[in-house]
Amino acid sequence: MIRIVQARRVFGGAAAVDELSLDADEGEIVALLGPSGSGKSTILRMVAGLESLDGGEIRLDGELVSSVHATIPPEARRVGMVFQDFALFPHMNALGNVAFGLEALARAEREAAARAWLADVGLAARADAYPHELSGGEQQRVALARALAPRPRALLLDEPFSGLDPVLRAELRETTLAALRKTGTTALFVTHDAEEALYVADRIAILKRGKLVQAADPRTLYDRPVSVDAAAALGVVNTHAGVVAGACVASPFGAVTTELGEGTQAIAAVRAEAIGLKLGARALVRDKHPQGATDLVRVEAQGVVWRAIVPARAAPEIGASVDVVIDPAGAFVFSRE
Amino acid sequence: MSTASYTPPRHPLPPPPPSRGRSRAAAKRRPVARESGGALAFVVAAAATLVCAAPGLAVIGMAIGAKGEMDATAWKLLGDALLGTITLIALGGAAATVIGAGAAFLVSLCRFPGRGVFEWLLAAPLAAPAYVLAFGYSSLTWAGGPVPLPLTGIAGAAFVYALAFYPYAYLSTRAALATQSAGALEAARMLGAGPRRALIGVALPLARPGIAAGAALIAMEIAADFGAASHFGATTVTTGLFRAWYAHGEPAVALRLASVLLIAAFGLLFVERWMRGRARIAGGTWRAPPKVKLSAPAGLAAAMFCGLIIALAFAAPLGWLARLAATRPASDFDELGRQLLNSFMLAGIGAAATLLVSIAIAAAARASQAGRAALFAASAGYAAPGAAIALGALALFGAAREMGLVGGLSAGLAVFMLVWTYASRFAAAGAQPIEAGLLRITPSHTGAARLLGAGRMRRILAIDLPMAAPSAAAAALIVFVEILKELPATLILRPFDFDTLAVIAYSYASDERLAQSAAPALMVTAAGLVPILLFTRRIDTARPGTRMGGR
Amino acid sequence: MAALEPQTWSRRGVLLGAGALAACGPAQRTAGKAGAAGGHVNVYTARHYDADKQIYALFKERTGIEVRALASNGDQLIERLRAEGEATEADLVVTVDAGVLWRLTEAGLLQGVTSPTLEAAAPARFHDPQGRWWAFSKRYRVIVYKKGAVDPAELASMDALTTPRFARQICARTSSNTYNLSMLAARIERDGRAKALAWARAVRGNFARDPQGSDTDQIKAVAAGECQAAIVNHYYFLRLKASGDAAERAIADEVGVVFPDQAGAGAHVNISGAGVSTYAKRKAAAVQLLEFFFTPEAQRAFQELNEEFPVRPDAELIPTLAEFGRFREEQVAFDALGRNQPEAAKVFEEAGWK
Repeated sequence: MIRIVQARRVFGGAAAVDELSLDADEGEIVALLGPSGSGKSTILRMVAGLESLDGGEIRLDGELVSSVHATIPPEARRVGMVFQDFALFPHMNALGNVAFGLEALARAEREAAARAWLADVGLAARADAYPHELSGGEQQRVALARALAPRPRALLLDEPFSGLDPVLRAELRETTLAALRKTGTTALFVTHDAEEALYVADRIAILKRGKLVQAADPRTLYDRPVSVDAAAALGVVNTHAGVVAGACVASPFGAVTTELGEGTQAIAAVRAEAIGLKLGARALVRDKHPQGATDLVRVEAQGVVWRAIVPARAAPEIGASVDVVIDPAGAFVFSRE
Repeated sequence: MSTASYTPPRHPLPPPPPSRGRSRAAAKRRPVARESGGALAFVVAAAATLVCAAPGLAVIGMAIGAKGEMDATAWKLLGDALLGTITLIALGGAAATVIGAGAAFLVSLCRFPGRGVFEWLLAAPLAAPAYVLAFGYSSLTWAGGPVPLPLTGIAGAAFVYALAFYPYAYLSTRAALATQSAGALEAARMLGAGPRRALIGVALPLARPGIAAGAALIAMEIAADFGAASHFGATTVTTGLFRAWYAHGEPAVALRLASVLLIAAFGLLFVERWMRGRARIAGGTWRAPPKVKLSAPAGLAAAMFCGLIIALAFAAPLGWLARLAATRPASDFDELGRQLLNSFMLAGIGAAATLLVSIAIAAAARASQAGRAALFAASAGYAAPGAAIALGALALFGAAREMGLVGGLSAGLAVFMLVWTYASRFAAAGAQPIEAGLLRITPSHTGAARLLGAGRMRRILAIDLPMAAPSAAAAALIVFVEILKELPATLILRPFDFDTLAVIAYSYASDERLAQSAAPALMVTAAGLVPILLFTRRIDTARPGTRMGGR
Repeated sequence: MAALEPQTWSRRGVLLGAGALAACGPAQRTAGKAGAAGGHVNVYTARHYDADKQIYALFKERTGIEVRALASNGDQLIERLRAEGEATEADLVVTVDAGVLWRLTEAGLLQGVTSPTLEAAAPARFHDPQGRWWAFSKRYRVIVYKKGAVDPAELASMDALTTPRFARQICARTSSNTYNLSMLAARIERDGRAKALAWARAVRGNFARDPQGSDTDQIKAVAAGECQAAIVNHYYFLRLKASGDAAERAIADEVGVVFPDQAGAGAHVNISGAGVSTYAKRKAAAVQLLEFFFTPEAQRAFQELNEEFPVRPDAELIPTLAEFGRFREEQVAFDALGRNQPEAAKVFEEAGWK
């Protein structure tokens, strides 16, 4: 459905998006996950037609919409977008905003459709309110309804929940997800929040400095990351560089097995939640931070500090001597060569 | 739909990282793919600039081409003129800035009896032209008047300027305080700063760009004023210009003085734009800062200060003029109705035309670097003396006539030339609030509209214009009032048998029939007062970042 | 005098005056042309007086020709005429100062007019030999003094203002003022630059204060005792004297008027004059209006409504003006006023007269 092939965008000599290829199938929700400056918003804007390409191409339903030579203007793409600042038109009420994209319909139909969309996002009663009279969450829902109303071929969401409080965020996530599922809309979803990406996306594309690190479904991504970056994108990881010896890389906290050849320069990466602690003598508990259901514990061995996430009530006391158990399902070795 | 329709321009800078708190500034810098608007924006900008800058450029051109030597007397005149203008700016401009900024601080940050009324009334003297205040005060205080005060020469002119122009500093400081300081002042109070420290340490630095912008405007007004300076016998660049022209019979020297003025105006303008430009990036929403309740004596003093300003700048001189007007027979007022109508007609047409140019410039300024340059160039006309601009317009007309492009100055052409001169002088005054209003239309708004299928025309009609409308209305009001007060261009370019209130007031005054000039002078002021009092309310909604409410 | 005093230039006075004028001139020469003309004539004028509007109204009454006026500063009108060139709509150009007439003539903006009527009405000195400008009214630069403080005999000449007797006792308006410029221009013509400079410097040395304000302000300052003498145009005094405001009449009572230099060059005189625009589209009507300015009724209207002296030697003076008595006037050629104005401005500047 959305097909990005070797897309490239250069700003002032630096590539904001670098030879990036990514697909989203019909009805699929794909999250673009990465830190600030990773190029995820630029990709969204390229798909929207708000940004041109310096290389590669973008297709929607097989139709070439962006290439180095030509960009179909946004108004002709039938792509919807929910902006980070919502970009509601301040001089139109909620109904007017939602109806804006329904120009093709007759007046009465247009209003009925807009009202229906507002009802879908739970704002039937707020149709006459102007944006400044709406709460942040309500504004977001109007923006969502407005973007979906013209039945776009794809919906682009640019950190749509980033300005909202956590409770509202969870609620809106549900609303959005429900609306997307109901309409079967293909969606590209930009976020820097791994938990959000894991929750919402069918597939997650991890970006770093304009390049695609890995794209896969959440399970695969979590269990089989292709690099330290890919692993770190979905949670806290501890790393230790070493050489493969005896089919494993040794760390102060224990060895991690690998299929890499003997003598390979490698790096071991261990998810914090894959570390178990039990009383022993190998490492020292430096401190511990409650996180609700879990505790983040910092343990030290041979001058190296790793972080472990363990069930809250099972965590050892600060200053305790512990042994470290590494769960192989959350431990990886990547070649450094 | 066809592909291959469009290649957007490349952008020199990478988009900044998104951050909520700075989203407005960030959004401003974030490039949006544009349609083939670059070329169009350039053409519009160039055309608008030409409209605005042409008379001024003609003056500079004539100055360069003019024959006539600068002899010792001419140099002395130039020196005296510069000294006079600088002195007046230093005295009158400083006083106006202190009064205006002080009043703005009082009504914005303190609570005292009558504050709400004063906040509104303090803008009123903007309606009274400086020459009207000068006539009122000389008649009031000079020999034969009821209040003997030594308001003469430079001191007298400085006094009148302080009262006539303080509203510029008042309005810009108030705007700066209201857009910048609410949060910071609250933070300062939370950090334990007393009112004094909050004022000096926080509010003052935050309001500084607003104060500086107001001061620059005041300096420009003082440099360009003719009526008050000549009445008080002060030699300034503008009075010197006319002296060189009329008395010395040396248009070359006059034109050179006009060029000095234009170039100085550019300098001041640069300061003003720079100050305001930086202020805007930091600008937030319009929110009333927290106010300190003044003790009873302090509150009384504050109320008296504000009352005194209004009494001096408005009530006393205009009241005296009203008393003079009352000595006149009723038949004097017969023609005032028609002249009021003429004034309104010219100001209406002029404001409408100026608004169009202003919108073009503001839109171009938003779209391109060339447009920004256009806005800057267009602004110079604002600080140039009207007569110099009118002279430039006349010269251009003469050149066009010699090329056979136009005939004589028929009524229609005369009005056209007048309107052009107004646009040239006031487009910048109109473009600034419009530009501020357009800033509220973020690239996201444009992007959202485009993604919802809106083409260029629909975006302009359904998004850009409605969103910019409140600020455009404010701009139109400002320009309307400026044209009501405008004198020199109207005097020289108007059609036969067409007198405006300002022209009539000036004519009688210059014929030393002050009592007869009082009624039209008062009517100019009254006519301007309504839009200005409206405008003080509007300025709130014309600011960037302000929510549009109250529909 | 007493009978006319209360409303010499009020609207009511104008109407009364107009009636009287119509009565005294039933066989108007211009009236005969009324049927033929009609239409309108365009006037650029530096005179924005109510008096002129009344005269235009009279003209229309007599001839059917409507006068359309554009009143502005004389030198700005010159610039407008220059820019308009042959396309100008202006038919007649009217000024208040000899200098502006000279500049108009120099710029070729006025055309020669031959008219027996005009030549009969205006003495040779009061028109251009080629008929390009014709002066129709006169104003005098006189000295006002504080009654009681000054004996008018002490002010017999303008030179008296330079004496130590009047140290710190002179009020004056700025030297940018046209009437001051023309006055000094005439003096330069008469006495030469050096003497004119010495005079200006000495008067400037006797200033009680820096120059400021209008002629009327100078009279008020003298009345208030800020100084004892000032140079003003005669009609500003008359206006105060006839003011509807009692306070202003009281001011006029405080001061006396001297037409100076009666034993010498005569009182400085300046003129209001007009000429037909080089590219006039309605030349006949323009000449007709110009001629009308010299009719007895117009010559009387200039006196009654604006306190100017008539140029026609045979014009009867109204009592207000006649009261000044007979006096000598300066005989300098009027084009010298214009020619010497730039020099006068420099002399003033050298003298330190702001």
